[in-house]
Amino acid sequence: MSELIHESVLDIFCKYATLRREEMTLETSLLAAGMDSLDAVEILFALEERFDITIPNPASVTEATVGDVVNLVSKLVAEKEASPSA
Amino acid sequence: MKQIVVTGRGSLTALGMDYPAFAERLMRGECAIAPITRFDASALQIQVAAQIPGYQEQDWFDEGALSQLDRFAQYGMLAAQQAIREAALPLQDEQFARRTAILLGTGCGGQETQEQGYHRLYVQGAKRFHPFTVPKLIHSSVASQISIAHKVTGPVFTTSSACSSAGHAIAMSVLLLRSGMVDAAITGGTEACITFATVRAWEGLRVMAKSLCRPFCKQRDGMVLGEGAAVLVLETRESAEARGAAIFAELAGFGMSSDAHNPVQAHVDGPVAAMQAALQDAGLSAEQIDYINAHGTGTHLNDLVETQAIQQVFGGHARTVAVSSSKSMHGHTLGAASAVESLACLAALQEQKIPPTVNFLDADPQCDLNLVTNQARSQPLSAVMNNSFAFGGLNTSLIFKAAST
Repeated sequence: MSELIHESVLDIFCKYATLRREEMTLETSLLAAGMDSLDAVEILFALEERFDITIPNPASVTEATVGDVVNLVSKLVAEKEASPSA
Repeated sequence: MKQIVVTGRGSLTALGMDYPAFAERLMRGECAIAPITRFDASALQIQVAAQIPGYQEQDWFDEGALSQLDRFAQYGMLAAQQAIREAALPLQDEQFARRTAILLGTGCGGQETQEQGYHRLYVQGAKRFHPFTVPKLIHSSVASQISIAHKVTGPVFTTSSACSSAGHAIAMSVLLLRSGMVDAAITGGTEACITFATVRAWEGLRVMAKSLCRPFCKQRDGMVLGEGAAVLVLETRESAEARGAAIFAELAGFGMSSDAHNPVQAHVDGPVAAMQAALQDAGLSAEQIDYINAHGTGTHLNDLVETQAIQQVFGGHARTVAVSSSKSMHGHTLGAASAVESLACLAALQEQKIPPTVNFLDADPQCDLNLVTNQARSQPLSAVMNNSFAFGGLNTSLIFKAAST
């Protein structure tokens, strides 16, 4: 699942980043990948739609790294699957 | 009192993608009313509108911008860009940008965004809206987006009074300019509500024509929705002359009034008061007005009431002052109407020619005015009036004069 999430996150990032897909590591921040706060809002929405999750108010999204986003999405997906209504 | 002049014009309407195209087609008497193509209108009783032909948002804005711009804001942005460019406003000068206002009128705001959002939510079961939904649909988004794009830092806001929205925006701009608070104002109106639900809602009012808009004629059977934006750059004469800007006309005066009568039924007293106030503000007598671009929606009642109001204000001159309604060509653009029709007045002054009421068949004895019908009429024009009378009885009347040097 985590691998799938990683791939999906990169798919979405690639729409907004100035870096190429292969240039983005888990440590690359959104800012370093060439994305601004408006791109971050689009990315959060795309992730919410893709995984049917609700991402809580982010503190500083542009400083988050690819790894942070993958971990956050993985956690929210796991919580959703564990909940009784899932 | 400071003189207020027009130094920039921009528009995007069913009659063309800019002001020169609008003016040319207006004077040719072209009717832009056609079957609705933006969505499947086959289930509607009303299947015609004056849409901007061939408009594709992707041709004008990138994906990032579009996530923040409803169609009404796109139209407003494009018209503003044209007007600012024509006026060559020095907005890179921070001091000038701070003494520039933006006042745009809109009746419906982000209607398309609301409608598409609700369709997703209630019909398709979507669980969330796009994060920019609120900033995109609010009426003021168009004013703030123009402010952001052109770095205008003075007073920026939107007026909303249905079909007089742009008239109120222009009138408020004049007040800000006369007060000395600003030196320039980017003002006008924008509307984009040719949507399935809006047309269906308008059907309920029983005021819509099924085929064409024919103001003031015996066979008139209602209004036709239009869309688009028109923007004027207004400036104090001092400011325009100091920077050597071309002056296209003078905005000599305005009047505002409320019928305080009925939410939909027009009353003679309000329009009379607005026109009288405009004449007084401009320091002109009724006899000095050469042409009236009427509100002229093409509904039975509006045209009757407007005729009576003109007769009351103009007395004997009501038989000589030329009157037409350009809505017969570009449709009723609601919150943008007063701005679109201000541009029709500017074209009239510039070309010394009156745009016609097209689709006119037989005269209605109850609309006994000096109507310019079906073909533009050349005649000397020094001062012209632009009327807007909105639902709710909210009226504006603007007077433009030919540019004097």
